[in-house]
Amino acid sequence: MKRHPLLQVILIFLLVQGALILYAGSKKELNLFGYTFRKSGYSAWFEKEQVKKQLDKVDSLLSDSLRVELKTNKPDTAKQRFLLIGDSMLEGLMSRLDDYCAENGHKSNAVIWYGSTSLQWGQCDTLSYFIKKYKPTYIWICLGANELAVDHVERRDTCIAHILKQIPKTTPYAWIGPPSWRKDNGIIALIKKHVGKDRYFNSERLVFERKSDGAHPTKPSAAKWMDSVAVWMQNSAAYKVKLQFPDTHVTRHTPIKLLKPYYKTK
Amino acid sequence: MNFDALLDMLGYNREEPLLFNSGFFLAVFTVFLAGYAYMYKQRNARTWYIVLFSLYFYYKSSGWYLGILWTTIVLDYFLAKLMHESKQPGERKLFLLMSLISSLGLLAFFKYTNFAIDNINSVSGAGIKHLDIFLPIGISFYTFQSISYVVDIYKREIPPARNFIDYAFYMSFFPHLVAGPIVRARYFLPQLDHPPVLEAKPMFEGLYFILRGLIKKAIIANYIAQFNDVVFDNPGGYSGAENLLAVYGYTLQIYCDFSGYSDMAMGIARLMGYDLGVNFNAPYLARNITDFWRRWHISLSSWLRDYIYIPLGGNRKGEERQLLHLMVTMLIGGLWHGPSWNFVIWGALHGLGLVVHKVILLVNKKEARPTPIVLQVIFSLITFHFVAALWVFFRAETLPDALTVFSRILFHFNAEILPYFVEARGLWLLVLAAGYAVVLLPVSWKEVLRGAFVRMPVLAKALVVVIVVQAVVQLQGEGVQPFIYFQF
Repeated sequence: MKRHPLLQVILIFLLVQGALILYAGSKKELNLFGYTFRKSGYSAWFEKEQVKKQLDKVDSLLSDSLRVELKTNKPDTAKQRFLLIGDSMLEGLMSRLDDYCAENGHKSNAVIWYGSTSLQWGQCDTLSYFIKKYKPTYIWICLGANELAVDHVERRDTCIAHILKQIPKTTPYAWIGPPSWRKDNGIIALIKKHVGKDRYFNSERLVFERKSDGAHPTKPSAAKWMDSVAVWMQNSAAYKVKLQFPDTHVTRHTPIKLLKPYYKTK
Repeated sequence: MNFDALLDMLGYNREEPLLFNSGFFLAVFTVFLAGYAYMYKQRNARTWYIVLFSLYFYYKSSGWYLGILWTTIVLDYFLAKLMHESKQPGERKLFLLMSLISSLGLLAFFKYTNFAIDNINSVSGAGIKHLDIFLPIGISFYTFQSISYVVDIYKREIPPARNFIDYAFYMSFFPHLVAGPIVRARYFLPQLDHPPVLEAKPMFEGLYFILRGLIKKAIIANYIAQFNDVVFDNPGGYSGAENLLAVYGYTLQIYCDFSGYSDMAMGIARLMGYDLGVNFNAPYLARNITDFWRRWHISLSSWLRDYIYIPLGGNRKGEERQLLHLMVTMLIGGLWHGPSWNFVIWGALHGLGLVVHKVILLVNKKEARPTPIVLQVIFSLITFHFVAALWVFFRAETLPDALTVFSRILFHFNAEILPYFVEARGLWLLVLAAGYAVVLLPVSWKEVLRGAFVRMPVLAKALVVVIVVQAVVQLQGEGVQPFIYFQF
């Protein structure tokens, strides 16, 4: 007997969703001629449990002490070990930070995860790993540039919380806001909500000269950006540190760990 | 999944309207269709079922702004009914005015209040604060739809809807509710009197339209939008060559986005046995700007013609007045698109284009002769580039941004960047070229493709749907891009 066309359409929709759910639940991604087939949004159903387990494991390692209010009225003059994590915008800050480190006796390490957002950092324990590895005394986060225009910004809420949760309660931190190259959709307000006004450096009010991609500041502009961050770090941040203006330019470079983008590139 | 998460998913979320190209819509719509299969033969049950689902669909996107839609429906239904029953011309006019004031008043309040405040502030420096207003999704579409119903009844061109629920069905039918097309009562209401046409050919054509819309919106428009957005957000940071490519990109994007939505709306309506008419007819093949407006957003341009241009006097009051009527109509059309001077300028320039074309026609009142094919192509190219240039005003955030786009193209073209662009954004160029190829494909080829899909066995159709959906997943970034016409 020939089925009614409406039932055929329903059958097609059910088959399509069945196929999507089946693939989303499969352990491996299909790879054909070097091309990986992405899983649909249904994969979140299956991954949620795995991610939750992973996050619980990380959180349990970190929640053993109470967070003390890390604030200073005067800059801490001790020599610091900075750990900077973030996206490609960090590149611009690094060169000038080297000058500040040389001038003030600080050391630094950086982890640049190209194309990353709070979503990637907030769903893994990469930050915990590098904290354990470098044992920083001060952590700088420079994220947000790649998520100025994402939809559903509220989904980043738990991710930002998770990033901050990974920072030991005895380590001060600051979040360097993105040098906005387009209107944001609420991500900056969300970050501020989590870190508080005095741990957030607002880069929005600065005017940047951009590279040809229209997003990244040019080298001289990024150096000025770092100068502004340093003034803020020394005078206004919740935990102030000595960052005297450097007179000279150094050629030595901060060790930088580069992480590949989470998405495929050519 | 826990119960709270499910309730969250089903409840109102301003950030997550029920978009046709989302997986959630597919799941909800499948459940809806299963219920529909049981009751589509019973008129009352079918009507109520669709109205309730449509109201849920609107609630999911707009929350309790649903009340405004409902207010418009209730007021206009009863005012139109009173108007129809009244024999007194004065009384009828009063009901018409009441309806127009309430509909347009709501639209003006929600859409143009803050625009008016901005203008008052800039003229007087008064410093009045913006009102915290959220534009109800689709208000421009359903307001125009409601006006056409009331005006047609006033002119006694159509009878009123049989009952309130029929009118609520017409106004809230979810495929066209939030982003059109603007369906006329005279076209849609008669369809409610007959059992819906659920035959294989129109239904599978509907499925084909949905796939076509998905390809246009979720594959082509969303993908090329990524580069267009970056350039239009900071046109001064890019070379003229990149700006030009972004203009071509946006010209394709807005067509694929909006006509893709219309295709999906049309397809979804067909799956329920209803016809919404045609909203686009290869507009970028138009030979002149008048022809373009006969092919682009047909439901809006015909609405503007019937309810603004013709009531103003159309071509009945002399040639000079006709040109004025064209300009006024296009200015209103521009402002309808959004509360911004950019849209007004966009409308004014289209109006100017129509006026110039009309003047050319008036000057060349020669005997109609067939135009050689080469000239036809040249005219189409000129029209296309005129339309593309005007999209810059439509897309740019501000007027200075729009002017920057043109100045970069004209004075800082920087062609040497193109080889690097090809290397870095090869896929973008490929999608752009493929998009234009699809848009410009002869209609007869598209019909062959549609026929082949309709004749396929069910499993083959399912396979095609899976391939298209996987392609969408493959090219889709995070989240689903909202439709450009959603907030109009």
